[in-house]
Amino acid sequence: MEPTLEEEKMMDINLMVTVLILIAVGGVLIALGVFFIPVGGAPAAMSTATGVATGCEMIVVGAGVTGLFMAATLYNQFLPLVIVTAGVSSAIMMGVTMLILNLIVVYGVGAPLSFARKEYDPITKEHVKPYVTPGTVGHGIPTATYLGGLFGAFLAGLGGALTFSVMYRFTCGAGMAEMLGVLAQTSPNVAAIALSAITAVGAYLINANITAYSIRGVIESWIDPKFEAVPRTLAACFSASLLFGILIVLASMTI
Amino acid sequence: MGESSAPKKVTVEPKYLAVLGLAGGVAGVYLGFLSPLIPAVLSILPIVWAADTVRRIAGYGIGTGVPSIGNLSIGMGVLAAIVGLRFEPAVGLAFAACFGYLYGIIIGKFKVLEIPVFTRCMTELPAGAALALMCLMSAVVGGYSRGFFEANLIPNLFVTGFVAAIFWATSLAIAHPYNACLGPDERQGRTLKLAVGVAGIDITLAGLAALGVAQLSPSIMSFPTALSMVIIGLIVWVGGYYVFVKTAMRESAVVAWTGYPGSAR
Repeated sequence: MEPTLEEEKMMDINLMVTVLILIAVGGVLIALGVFFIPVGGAPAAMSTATGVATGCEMIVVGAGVTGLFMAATLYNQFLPLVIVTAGVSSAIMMGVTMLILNLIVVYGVGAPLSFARKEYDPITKEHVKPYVTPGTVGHGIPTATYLGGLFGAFLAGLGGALTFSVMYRFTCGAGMAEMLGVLAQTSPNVAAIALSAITAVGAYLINANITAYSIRGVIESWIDPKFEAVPRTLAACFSASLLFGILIVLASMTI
Repeated sequence: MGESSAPKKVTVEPKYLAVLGLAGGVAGVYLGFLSPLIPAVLSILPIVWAADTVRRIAGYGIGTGVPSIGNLSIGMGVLAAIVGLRFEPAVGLAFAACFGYLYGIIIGKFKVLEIPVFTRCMTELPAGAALALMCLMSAVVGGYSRGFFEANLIPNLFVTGFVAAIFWATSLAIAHPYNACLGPDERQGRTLKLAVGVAGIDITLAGLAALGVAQLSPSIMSFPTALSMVIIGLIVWVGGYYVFVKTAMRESAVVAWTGYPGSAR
């Protein structure tokens, strides 16, 4: 039986709501991921704090865009496979970044990896606090924060790829089955990729700033007391992503 | 940064800048059919407006650096600008202001950041960013006209990737002036002079993109127009920086040279 006009419109609205919710979930995953990544900011660049030596916002966009690249490469594959692969690629990116930072801190600066928040490293049970130079709050990225960073980058990559893939498939005019499964396309739609990439970066920046305002500078992965701010930050990200999801859906109508 | 709170005396009232930015930006987008140079030049006004808004909000000390505010504005602005160029620029502007206002309310409600002027600035910032982006994006592909989104904008600006350059350059133009000038002696007039200079960089980049578009599709953008866009951008860039450096030198303290070789006396 042919679907009537009314039913088609109904499908369309269902699809739009699904897109909105998936974009919001992507935003929440990105924001949650950043809480796990040790963000050091400017103090970490001088080796006076634990973490990756850049701001929250750049880390969010970096992890999200790595996920975006992978998702754009695997544009027509099964959606869960795409986002998990993108998450792994993002974790590899962050792992290499943190490893190089540790090499520089250990062999370049000559400081032992340590943090001041806890007496012992919760994973290796090593006594790390005595190695913190007086006047600083840590150096490099010790094991507990390193693992947190890998996991956080994985989550952020999942979110980035989910946001981009959903936008791309929506722009290409995919139905509900194609949206969540395999996309029946043999060559990529470059116009749709360009449009969704720019809108996706806009969405990352909006979520990145909520997280950045809530972290305010420095966080040491899951051992940091600031981790308590997670629920309200995620709630804020979910609402903001839903809000701007309306603009995204309008911007990425089928072309 | 934390202790500097309420804005000090200003050279230009933010109200006038807002009116100028709104009028200039809207006129720029809608008059694009006359010549693409009009939106390119008028994009300075919304950029200066947004830069002043960044100045007002970042003066409170947000703890994440000034560029984050510029990137936030451009993140919201680009979504609204795409919607605006797709359907109707005025609708895009309205969306930018409304959604920015709601974003400010969400941030306040969940106690992520508590700054008194946040909601108001979040209304103005995306509006300014969206207007600046709409002006520049339409200028590169020969001015706004009905139905140009699918025909001109997507193949010439998005597929070629020029949009990324314009996106980040506009973000820089909004965030950089206050980021470079902040400090106890920051003065609005000086910061906004730098904003005009950086807007020149933005126009120059748009002109370079327009040169590419002139080669790809000569029917919508002629080579002389693109070249004059680059030249106008360069003039604004050099002129803005010249005035800014002059002002900065006049207002800076004299430092006596006591090093080697000899004293300057």
